[in-house]
Amino acid sequence: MNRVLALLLLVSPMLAATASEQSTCTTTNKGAYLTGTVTSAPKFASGSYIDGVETSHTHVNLKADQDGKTYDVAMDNVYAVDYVKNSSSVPASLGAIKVGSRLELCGEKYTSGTTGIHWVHSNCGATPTSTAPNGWVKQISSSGSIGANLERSQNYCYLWN
Amino acid sequence: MVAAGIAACVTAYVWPARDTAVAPAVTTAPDTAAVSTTAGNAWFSAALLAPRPAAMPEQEPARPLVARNGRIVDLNGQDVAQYIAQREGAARMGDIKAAYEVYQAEALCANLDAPLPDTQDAADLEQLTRTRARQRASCANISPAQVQERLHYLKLAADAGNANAQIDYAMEAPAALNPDDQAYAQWQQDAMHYLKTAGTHCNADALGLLSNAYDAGSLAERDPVQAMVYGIAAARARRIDKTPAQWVQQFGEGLSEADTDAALKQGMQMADGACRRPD
Repeated sequence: MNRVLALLLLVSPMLAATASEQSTCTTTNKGAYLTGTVTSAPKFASGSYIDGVETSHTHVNLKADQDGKTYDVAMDNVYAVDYVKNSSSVPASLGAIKVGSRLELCGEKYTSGTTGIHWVHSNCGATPTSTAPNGWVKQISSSGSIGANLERSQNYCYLWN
Repeated sequence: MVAAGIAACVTAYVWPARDTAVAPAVTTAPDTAAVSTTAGNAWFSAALLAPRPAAMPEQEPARPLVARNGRIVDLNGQDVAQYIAQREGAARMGDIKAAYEVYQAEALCANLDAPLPDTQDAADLEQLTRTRARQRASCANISPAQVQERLHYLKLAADAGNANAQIDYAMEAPAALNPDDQAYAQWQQDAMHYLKTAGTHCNADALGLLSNAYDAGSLAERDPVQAMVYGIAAARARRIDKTPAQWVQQFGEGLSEADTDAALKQGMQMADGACRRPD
């Protein structure tokens, strides 16, 4: 009994933190919220060019806790703080995501072609909407703590202004 | 902005790479839009709503050639050796424009051995492989010594005040060095110096890179306040105007009110000082 109580005391702050994150994502940031386990290593995808900047992506698959489905997670490389302009490689910060890593995502789900989630990045300070949420990609550590948004750079927001 | 953002966000995975490269060829226009923002919007809106065509056109535009500094390179139909031959004499005599052009061409040959990425899509890898082969062919008559000497020309141009060179210096991280190495620390220090020099002349790219450098802690100690300062300065250098509350909303996440106020003030002052235009 004592062990159960101790476990509850240990877990409850994490649950509260997750609930708070979920509320921020869905209510304030107008996004869809997912947590889950990464099932495929990061892969690069080329993109089109805007003003001489390639809008490439990094993809992983994630098995969601919420519905058990596997989502294609599409992360815009230009929103990574260590993005190197026009590089044909995955930014190191996104490459650090491993199979088995736990992620927390806020973005927009899509179903065209496959089940996935995109727009998991900052919306450059614009008022969030359900199709342009203020999204994020955060790693959840083994202790349950939630890291910084890996998709927070605003250096290339000008491409869409 | 919203539609364009969606375009960037979705492009690469709703459509495989060969499909996304429907834009006009970019190899003839260094650092200019292959897809303008407006064109990108229009294309994307149609593409997202329309069913995917059963077969894609046979003609597939080539990917641009990109140098180690991230710039798209156009050699006007010449290979690197031919391009350099026309400029090297002037570069050696101290012509800064020629020096930068020689650097830029040689930088195209500096990332030939970088591994190709694991890609989402086989067609994407195929196109990247073809692009690398074109790049290799363009660099066929360039020696390792010439690739190495590019850094001499880069520094020459950066010291002479060429803003592109000052930015490129920060893109040329010495790959062979350990981040703990003294020479690496020196490069970090020099890169920050050049970026700040370009930033004082209202160079938005430099200011943006400084914001990221402070955010990631890549060239200097991580400093979220300075990341906000330079983020605001970079945006204002691009003539993006927002209210103080909007700046805070965009850049102030996770900062205290006092830090946010200070960063807002400093960022505005920095941009106003660097970007003052003649009356």
